[in-house]
Amino acid sequence: MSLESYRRKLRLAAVLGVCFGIFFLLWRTLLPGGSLVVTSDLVHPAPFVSPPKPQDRLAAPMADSEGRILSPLLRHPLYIDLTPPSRFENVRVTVRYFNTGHGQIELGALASALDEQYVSRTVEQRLVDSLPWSRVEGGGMVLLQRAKRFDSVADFMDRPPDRAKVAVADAAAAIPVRIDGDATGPTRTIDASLRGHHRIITYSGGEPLAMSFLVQDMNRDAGEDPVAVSIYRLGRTEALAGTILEDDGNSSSDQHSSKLRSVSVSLAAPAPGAYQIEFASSNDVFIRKIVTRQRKLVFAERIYLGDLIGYSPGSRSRTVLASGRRLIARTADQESLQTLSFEGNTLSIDEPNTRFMRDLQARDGGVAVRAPKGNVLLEVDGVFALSGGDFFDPFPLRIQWDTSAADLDRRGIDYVLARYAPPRTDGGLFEASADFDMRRLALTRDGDYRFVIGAPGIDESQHEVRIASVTFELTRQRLDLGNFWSDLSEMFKPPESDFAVLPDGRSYGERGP
Amino acid sequence: MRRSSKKFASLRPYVAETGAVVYRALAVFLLLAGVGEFLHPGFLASVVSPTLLIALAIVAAAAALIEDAENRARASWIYAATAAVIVVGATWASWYLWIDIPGARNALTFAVGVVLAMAFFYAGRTQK
Repeated sequence: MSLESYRRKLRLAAVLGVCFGIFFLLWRTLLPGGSLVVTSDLVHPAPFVSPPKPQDRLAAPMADSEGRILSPLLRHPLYIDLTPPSRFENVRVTVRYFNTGHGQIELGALASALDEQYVSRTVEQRLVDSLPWSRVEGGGMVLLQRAKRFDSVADFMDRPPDRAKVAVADAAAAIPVRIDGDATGPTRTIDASLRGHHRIITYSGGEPLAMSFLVQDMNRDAGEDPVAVSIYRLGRTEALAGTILEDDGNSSSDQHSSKLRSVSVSLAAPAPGAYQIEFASSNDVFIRKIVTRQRKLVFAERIYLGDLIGYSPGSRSRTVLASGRRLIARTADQESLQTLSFEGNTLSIDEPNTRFMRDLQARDGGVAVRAPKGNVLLEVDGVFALSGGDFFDPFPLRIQWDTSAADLDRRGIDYVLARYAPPRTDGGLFEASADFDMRRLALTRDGDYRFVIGAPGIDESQHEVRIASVTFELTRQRLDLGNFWSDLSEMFKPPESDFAVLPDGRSYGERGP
Repeated sequence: MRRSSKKFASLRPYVAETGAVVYRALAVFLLLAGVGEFLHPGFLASVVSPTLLIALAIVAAAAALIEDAENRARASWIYAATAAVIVVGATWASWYLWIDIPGARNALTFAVGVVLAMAFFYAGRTQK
């Protein structure tokens, strides 16, 4: 073959090769079949999946007896970002791991970026799996009974027993609350200075329910800071009323605080019972005052005591009532390092962005915790109240990673309700999955979906959780010629908002990496 | 020994031509893929082994250097410079999939594509 002829043929082959390569990339981006499966062992790079973050929450990988690479989880939670080549409707996250006996494993996904709220599923709960009680399942729920009384979960929901006899694990707290006496009084103004997202539980005996928040946008971080306030019947996820306060018009980080603005929600004729008021906002928004006639008002699981900078001179100590087994505290600022005091005990917060914890003594009405400075996030496996009169506990006992059968006996618990499906076992590893609707997930600032593998208490536990792999199965409708262009535009359309109100969302108490 | 040397001499233009064409094809592919990645982050992520792709480009560049003495002097520095860029690209590619900042990823992809395309253009011109 002459050089000229060879050159022509070679060039033709090269053009075809380049066309094929680009077509291959286009095909992999569009994925006409509507599905994509990505697996990462968290050690080696994998397409579309970020390294685990923060990386120091995993120990050095080790090989098990079968040669599989496992990464021990040192601290909770572990974040993994996913950047699919186009948009999908659903994702199933499957984690394969070895668990020497740790009590609880969770999977979550970021659903509201503004206030860092995650949808979370418990995918392994050792106590629920091991309790030798009567077990019925239905509607994705599991009901364990010390002595069988209910034939189904629906039967239990229709005629729930005394709340003091029920414990829940990752289940909506649908056990009715009843408080004797007047649920409302004269209008009162509570000086609060609370920062960012809060979940407030109150009670109505049937009287109108109303709450106003005087808020201030401190503009310390760039970006818009809208506020959404919604009311839910406790344990339900359908909003009964809601309102949105738009950003103050300053989306910079110039630290120019806005004037006080009011945002209110109300229900004219609520049925008697407990209600959840979801105050959703970024940490730039401070609740300076709460105006209400409700007598009972507690904060579920977390309260973020803010500072007074840009609002009033000086600093002020705060005392809150905490009800739960364990108090966790952290601050993001060097200037807010402090020592909390309660019941003759102290809890020193001497490093920023680090969790400090201390057990609380059980006491009716909560334990008074004094914080000498602001800007401290307090978390508890129960509720906080700003005063003794506000206090009530609307939640049944929550099963935690370290709850034991003896704890249930001691508390007189006869029923355990859980939204839960136990993990599968495969080749000596556990395999747990959770499904998420990607249309309801938020993106990070880098445009990624963010997922979480959680093992609360792993840094205190005697046991180890070693992760073998994480698999993302993404699905959407197949691309067909009939709706090709509409599907194509849908594939690359960005999410409508990075802000959603999640009545059952949860926060990990830290800004994601 | 002499026979094999003669045989190589007769094959040398073919080897050089193959290297040059493969090299240019890869440069065009990387340029188009780089533009795709710039327009839509994640476009290149399907290339599970970008390191292999870059290694192939280096081999092709080396093959393309087997040319007659007259052209070699003019073309080689461009190939050498491009090979250096490719090595940088390969280093980047080894952690490409783990990179956190899409902006940086886009810029790097685009820069590698542009440099390769320029090298391809000048190399082609000097060989004529």
